[in-house]
Amino acid sequence: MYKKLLVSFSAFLILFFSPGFVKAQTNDSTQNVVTNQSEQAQDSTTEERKARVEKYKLEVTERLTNAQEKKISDICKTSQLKLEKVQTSVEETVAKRQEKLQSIVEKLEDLSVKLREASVNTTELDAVIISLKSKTTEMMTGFEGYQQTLEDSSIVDCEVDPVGFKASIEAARLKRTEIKTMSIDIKKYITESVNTLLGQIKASLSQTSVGSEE
Amino acid sequence: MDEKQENQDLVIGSSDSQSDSGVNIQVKTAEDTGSKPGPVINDIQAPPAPEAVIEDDDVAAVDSAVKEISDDSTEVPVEQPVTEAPAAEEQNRDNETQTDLGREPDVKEAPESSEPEPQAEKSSGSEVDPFASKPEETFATPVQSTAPQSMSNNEQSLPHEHRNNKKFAVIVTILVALLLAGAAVYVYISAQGNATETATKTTIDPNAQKIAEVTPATSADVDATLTDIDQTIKSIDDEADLSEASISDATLGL
Repeated sequence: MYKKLLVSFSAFLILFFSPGFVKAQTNDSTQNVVTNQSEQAQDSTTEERKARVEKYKLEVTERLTNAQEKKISDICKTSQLKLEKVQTSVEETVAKRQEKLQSIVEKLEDLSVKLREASVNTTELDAVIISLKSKTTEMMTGFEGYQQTLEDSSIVDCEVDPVGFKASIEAARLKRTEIKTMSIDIKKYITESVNTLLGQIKASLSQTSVGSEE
Repeated sequence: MDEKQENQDLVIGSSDSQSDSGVNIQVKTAEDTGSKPGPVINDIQAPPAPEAVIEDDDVAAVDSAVKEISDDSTEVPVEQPVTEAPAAEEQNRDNETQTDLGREPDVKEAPESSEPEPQAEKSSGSEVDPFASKPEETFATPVQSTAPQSMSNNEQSLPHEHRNNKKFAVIVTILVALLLAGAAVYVYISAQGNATETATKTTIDPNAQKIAEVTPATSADVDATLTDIDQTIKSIDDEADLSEASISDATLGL
């Protein structure tokens, strides 16, 4: 009788807890794999960061004096904290900028679909949409580079390598300038090319509507 | 006395008619103990010649049977623990019978001996039936013990079968439980996969609805698009988002 009860109880326990156990084992193994991958990624990231900093050093034109290096070594930790804040604000800027540009592209695509439904030639509008997408992607890539340089400058061991720290900041400034140029170019493209094209389409739609009324 | 003789005849007849196994065990115990029943009984009262011949036959049959048993090594360990208890009982009974035999000799020799008749009569006056029955039991107990032996062998084998059945049942139960658990895990994982598939389907469906609800564009749609784009472009402030002062040397304190 006790054996039957024991067998029934053990079977119930196995039946009830084995799915969770299997899931826990799977989660543990997945977490272990993720941890190993993250450690490997960290190692590779550190190596890549060193390589990037060396590249920044090569691109720098002005050489630091020993006094400048010592000054940077003394106060760079505070500067790195400020750079981290800038990096955080840039992340928010990137998200907002991508959302706004994506909304412009979606509105143009919706209009293109409706124009096709109205039997309007949308070839030029589709080309504009593709060009705008390409410019947006390019600017997002520029933002990624800008964020990368900000991260490098905030993580590099500035006390040991003040030259690398300064070179990283200079690279971030260059990237920011590039992004700003891209953003101005996109705004110009939209206000000039897209708005002009949409005006032409509006005029054609007005003519067709007047013709259909007559 | 006639009854005794009949009992004796029955006893002898039963011993003769009994299979070798029943007699063998009794003789084996006698040999093992080193006490030869014939001579011991002879010490008390001389056995008749014909019965000695019968004993020799029995002993020969016993020897052959013992050889067979000793040759058959597999059966001996199984029978030993079972025969111990009856052997002990037989020893007790033998002791009792020997003590009784001290008063009265073996039942077989009673009719042929003339001198101990009064003793036998004295003893038979009160204990005739027990003595008549006890030798039967002494001869019959081995026969009866063989049947319990076979029964006990079967009983020993039957519990093993039951145990095997229990073990088998436990193993089957555990296997079934594991299978059910595996099935539960599989169902759980597949259900999660179905949930993600349905989620993707639901995300895809709105696009299809949009495509289905498309209406031809009008100039108002173009105007609305132009207005939205202008507002969006105006909301983008490069000077605030990409300020040069944010990472200047002065700001960073360099």
